[in-house]
Amino acid sequence: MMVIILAVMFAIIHTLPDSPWAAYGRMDQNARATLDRRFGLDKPLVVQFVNYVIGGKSAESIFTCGLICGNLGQSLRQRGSVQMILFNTGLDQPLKQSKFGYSLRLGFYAFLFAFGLGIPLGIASALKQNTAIDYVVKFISSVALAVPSFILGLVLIMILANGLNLIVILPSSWSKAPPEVWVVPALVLGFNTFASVIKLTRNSMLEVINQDYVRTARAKGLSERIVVEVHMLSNALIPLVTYAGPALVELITGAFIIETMFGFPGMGREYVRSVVDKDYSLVLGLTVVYALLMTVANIIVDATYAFLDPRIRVGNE
Amino acid sequence: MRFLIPASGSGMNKMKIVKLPAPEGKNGFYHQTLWQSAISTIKKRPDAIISLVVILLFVLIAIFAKVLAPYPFMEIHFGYADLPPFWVKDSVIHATGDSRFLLGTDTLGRDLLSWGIYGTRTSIFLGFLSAPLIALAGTLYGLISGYASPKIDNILMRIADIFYAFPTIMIYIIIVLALHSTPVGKIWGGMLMMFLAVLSVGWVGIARLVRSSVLTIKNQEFIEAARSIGARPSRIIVNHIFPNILSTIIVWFTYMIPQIILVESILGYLGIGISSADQYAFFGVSWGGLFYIGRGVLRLQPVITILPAIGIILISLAFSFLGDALRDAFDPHNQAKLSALHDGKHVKNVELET
Repeated sequence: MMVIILAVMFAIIHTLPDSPWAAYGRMDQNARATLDRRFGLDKPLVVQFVNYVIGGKSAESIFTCGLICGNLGQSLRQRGSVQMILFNTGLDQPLKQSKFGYSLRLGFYAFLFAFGLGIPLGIASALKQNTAIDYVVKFISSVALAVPSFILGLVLIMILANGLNLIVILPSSWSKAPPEVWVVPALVLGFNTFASVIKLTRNSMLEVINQDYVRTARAKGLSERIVVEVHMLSNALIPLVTYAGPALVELITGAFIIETMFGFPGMGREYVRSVVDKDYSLVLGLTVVYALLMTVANIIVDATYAFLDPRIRVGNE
Repeated sequence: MRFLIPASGSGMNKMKIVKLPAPEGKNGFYHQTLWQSAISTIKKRPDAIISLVVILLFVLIAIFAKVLAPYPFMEIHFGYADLPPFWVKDSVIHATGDSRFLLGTDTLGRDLLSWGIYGTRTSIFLGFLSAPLIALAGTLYGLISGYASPKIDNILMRIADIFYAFPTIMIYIIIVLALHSTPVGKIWGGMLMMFLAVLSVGWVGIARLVRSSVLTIKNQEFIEAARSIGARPSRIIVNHIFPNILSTIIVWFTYMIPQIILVESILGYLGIGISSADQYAFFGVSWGGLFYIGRGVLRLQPVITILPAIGIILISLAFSFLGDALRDAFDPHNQAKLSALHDGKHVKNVELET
């Protein structure tokens, strides 16, 4: 599957008009040929693809191992290899400061916001069903689900940074920026997830509230707190756990536009930029990283699901 | 007439007996098709009605753009550059609004209200024209995949899976980049290119929806009955299966149309959306194009960004509320639906499942 995805991406990216060198302006034939040879672009596409996946001899006839050894290739437009650009491998900077590290942190903060605020609101809304609180929360989540985060980001940039000059949103250097600059991008990124979490929590709580075992727990005379915490929550949160894994990966990898908008030095902006620049190896490298992250998320979800819900384990045996 | 309505949960102890008024239809039975009851449910939802009105307004603006806009959108007014909206007395560059340019002008002295109206035309047309075509392609694919033998179904769905493996926005970007400088990218100011981009990913979603609906329907008795009296597959698909998945497709529309408009805006914001240098082009400027222009002058002329932002927020909210209402209306187990059926008077004391 992975190879098919890569092959499709490889074919698509190579059919794009303009070569990676288009941005360098007019270039004479010799220089272009030298660059092509340097990066192996003069070979047939099939050979290039094999070279990329398995490895091949470079122009100086030195064998370099390809993707199967974890080598994502040289970037065509930036200095260094793709893994160095994305993960800072071979540099003395920590992983935290790499493109991947930035996206990881931003996605994680957005995740914290969405689940940290969404779950309590969803629970409150379900416990106080058909009261003012419920209607307000329901309205918030409907609106938050409908408004695209792209628009929210634009509006927030306009109001907070331009209109009110409240906070620095677009710092010149993210590594030296104060922590509060992370707030707005994380909030914008997590906004739609936040709405989904509210809806999901509310629905699964409402399902649990009417179960017989909850009535039994109340009938036993347990305090309301224990009924809510032990009997309701532990069951109502199962769907949320299965939602959390893909949601986290989605937040880490799905921030193309928001990263571009905020000038954020993460993978999403790099992806958009590399496609526009026709940086073939960087595009392919990012595709690999994204597909891997998705696979890992799905495996983790399956594992946690079986761990949390004993009914599934029993069913499988 | 008496009804037994199961109350919440599974316990029989909560069953209650409700008295319902005698039905008014012929022979004492309700004569309401799914569609009639769906429409009557929608009529009782104020949010759905408001949403419909908002959507209708946008469509009217789009159709009558030429009549509504005070100026042709490319018309340059010398000496009236960078004006703020008419109510602003002192803008960032100390200009005062002019009542001839209600929302101000851009750096070249072009009327922003007209820009907004023409932009609405392009974006709304794109959304409303491409969604039915995408639905057609996806529905056909889903019908075939769902009705065909499991082997073919498997192959067709694996093909669809490939499209899901990539981040969707990247596919849009790649397709638009690939077509941007070709003759295809020039047709209708890039409308065709944008349509192809949304089509390339959009069909997968509806195809999957349709396929899963078909899979649940095709094993039911009425299909078997149709087959046993010798109906051809084409007849079964068109007359028996399709009417049952129509509601799914309609709800999908309320999700897809704002999605298409949003995709165009995002690509426009990145500078690869619909744009035309031809000032007489029918689709000259779009909301995405406005975002791109507004991006550079956020502080000087925020109106350029605010206009399409408001448009997208309104369209998204309207379609979202309409979609919720439609989903409820087509759901035979829905509470609102049941109470609409019983006129809401006599079932209030019954706890129904939410």
